[in-house]
Amino acid sequence: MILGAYMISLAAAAGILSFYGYFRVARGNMVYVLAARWSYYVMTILILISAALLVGYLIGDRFDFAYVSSYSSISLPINFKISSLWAGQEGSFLLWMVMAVLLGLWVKRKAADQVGWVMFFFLIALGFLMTLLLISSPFKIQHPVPADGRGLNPLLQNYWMQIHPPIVFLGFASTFIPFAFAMAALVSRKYDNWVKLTFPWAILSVCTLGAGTFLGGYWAYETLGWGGYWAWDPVENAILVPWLGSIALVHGMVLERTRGTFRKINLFLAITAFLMTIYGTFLTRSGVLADFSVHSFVDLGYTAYLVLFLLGFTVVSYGLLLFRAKTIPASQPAKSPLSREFAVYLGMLFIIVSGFLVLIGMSAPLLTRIWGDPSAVAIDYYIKTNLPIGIIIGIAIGMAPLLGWRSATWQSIRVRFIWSVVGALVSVLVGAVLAIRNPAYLAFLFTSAFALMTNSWQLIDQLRKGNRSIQADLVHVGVALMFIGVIASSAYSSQRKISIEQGSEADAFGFAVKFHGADQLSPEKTRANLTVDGGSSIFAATPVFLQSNQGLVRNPFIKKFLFYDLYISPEEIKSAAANQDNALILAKGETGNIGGLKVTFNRFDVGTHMEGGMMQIGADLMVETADGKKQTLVPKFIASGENPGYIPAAIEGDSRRIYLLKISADQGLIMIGLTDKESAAEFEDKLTIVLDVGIKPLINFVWLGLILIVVGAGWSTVRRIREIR
Amino acid sequence: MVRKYRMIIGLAAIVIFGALGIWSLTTTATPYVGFAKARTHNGDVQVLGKVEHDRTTYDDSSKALVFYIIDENGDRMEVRYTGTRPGNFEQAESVVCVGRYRDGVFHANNLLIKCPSKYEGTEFRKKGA
Repeated sequence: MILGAYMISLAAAAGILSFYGYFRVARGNMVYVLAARWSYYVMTILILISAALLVGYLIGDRFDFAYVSSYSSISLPINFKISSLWAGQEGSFLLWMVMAVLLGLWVKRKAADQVGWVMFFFLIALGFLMTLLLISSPFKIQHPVPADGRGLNPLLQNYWMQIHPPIVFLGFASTFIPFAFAMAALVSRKYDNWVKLTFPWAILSVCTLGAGTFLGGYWAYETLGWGGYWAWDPVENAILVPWLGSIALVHGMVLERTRGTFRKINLFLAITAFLMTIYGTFLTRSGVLADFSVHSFVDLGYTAYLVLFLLGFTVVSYGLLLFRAKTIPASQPAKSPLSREFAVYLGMLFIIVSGFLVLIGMSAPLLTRIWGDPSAVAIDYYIKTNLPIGIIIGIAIGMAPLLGWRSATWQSIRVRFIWSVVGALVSVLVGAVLAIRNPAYLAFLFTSAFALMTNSWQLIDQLRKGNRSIQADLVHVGVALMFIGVIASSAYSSQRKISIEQGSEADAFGFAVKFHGADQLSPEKTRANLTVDGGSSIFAATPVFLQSNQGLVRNPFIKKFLFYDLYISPEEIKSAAANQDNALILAKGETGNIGGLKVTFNRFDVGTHMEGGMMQIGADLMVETADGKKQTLVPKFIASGENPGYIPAAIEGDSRRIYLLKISADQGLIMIGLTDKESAAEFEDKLTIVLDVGIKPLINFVWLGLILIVVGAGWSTVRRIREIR
Repeated sequence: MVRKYRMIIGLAAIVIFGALGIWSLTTTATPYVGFAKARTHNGDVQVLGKVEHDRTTYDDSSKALVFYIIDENGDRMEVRYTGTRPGNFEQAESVVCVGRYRDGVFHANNLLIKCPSKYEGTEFRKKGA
């Protein structure tokens, strides 16, 4: 048996021991706690060893392993060899497993008296990943052993793709934790402490899934050249839905912590966020959406297991929740709808609605199969359904900081409310004047700007008071900024295709784009050299085509300005063939006919060195015109690095000139051209570049907003975890 | 009292957004059909076909990618696409074209690329709407 696969099997065995141990602990037999803990450590070490082995094989070019030869190659730089660990299905499950077992170490220490049941259910969730690793091992050996691997997809040879997947899998793994705590609470009927213990982990999911979404979107924007960051693809939605579930859970838990309400909904949400992670994995990894997603995932024989796990988890966890529903205590909500509690409720409600609608959209190909042709939904579906939700969430986020937890009066909120409304109206006015006409977008802009005002105000207020609990305000400022960035960059971005001949320029959005030519940086890499003149600033732009045997990658060039990005995506470079009709190749001593002239190439005219390392070479030609007159002409060629120069020879009694276009001294060949033009341009290959130029207004708000969300949530996670001793 | 508000808002949200969801779903659904149905269907559809790469051209004046796809019965259809060409188009064995058939040509507003086995399992992103 192969060492790596052996390690995984042993880890599975250790996991089962730990699982049994924690079961006995949960049933009150504390004798097992050490055995359970140590089995868990052994499992963790074995998983880490197997991941390290695979990384070692990738670095060591061990192409006898099918996984290594599928995703790596000899010439790949070492950092990408390491990151090809998660380039394929099997390896990415291993990475997910690594993240999950590591989180488990931490969960174990923070689970207090619930450790038995929590780890019992956490290990069941790990069992899901373990099963997938056992079914389709990343350590498969192949014969014959190829000499080189197929290499890493050039799209993934990128800094962002080195950190995006680990963060996403950390996020996915983090959803296991609230699930385990919820199930533990349900089984043991201990509902009072669960929220306190689970709260930090739910925030961790918000942080990590948010960071994963951010990195993925940023990667798409920076490298793929289609000019966007989000396409509602199933792979993206598979992160978004559990993220929304976790966000709703955090808000429900805020309410439960302060008022003891929403206990059932929170248990439901904790389970659902986990189920959505599993469901997203099923959708994107089983191949059921192969015809609907660009992410061509191939079924590796997982499908049946994925369905089985999904059904099993769903039935057992929801079943237990229903079975226990009557034993879960409820309490009274606040008295006034004008309270922060109510705003939080409103926000939570619509986050759930949004998550549900995205879930339906991403499942459409499966759902529609029931009654007709399987159909995917257009991106419009997601926009139509989420736009009104965004407007409402803007109101909820905007009102929350104005209101007291239990109640508020008009007097208490008047000043901030009025000024924030005024601020929002100004931004709507600006938006409307600049570009925005669509009333729904204007409404969304209004509520988002309102939320930005009230939350920034609150943030500043808290900072001034020296209050350190500003995480929620940071996150909400981030959400408002992100909303505004999304509105501006999607609704008001404009795109134009321009094609430019080498040496000339074209206008796009007031920028004069000049195309100088293209450099072949390496056999695969072609860089287009442009200069862009925007009036106040002139800069070089260098979009890149990366041609490989796997496809053409178009890296855009992005110039960031304060309020917008100029996005230049290279579409294609075409080469117009040179004029060959009036050109002639001659060997030394040879005579040929061109344009009614008889030309004999006598000899090279020995080169004279000029300043700057340039060299001038001439060709001694005997030219006989149609009337029989002979003359000796010496056109010259100036060799100077990139741009050759020409000194043509004028023909006596003829308006045309002879150009010496190319020479090959060692073969004794020359190429001459005959034209009445002032330049030899027609004899050179002419390049034309087609560019997709776009303006992305306020795109930086999207990134800044997401960063604030991630930072706020991360900070909050740390604070809340410290609260648990 | 607030419990009642909550119930009302919650139910209203479910009813209104449920209806919005169903309406959006039916109006934006793009069924996955064969060539024959694509030619008669009114509205956006998606079709899958093998690309005849040697016949692919780029129309300079309209800045459109023009290519032909064939289905498994040998049926051939011309496709015009004006968006950003997906990065891996040249290597695509077959593509899914999303759009509608008009005047003898399938006008695609989106292309999904099906790659040969080389990068199965890895992520390819597409151009958005």
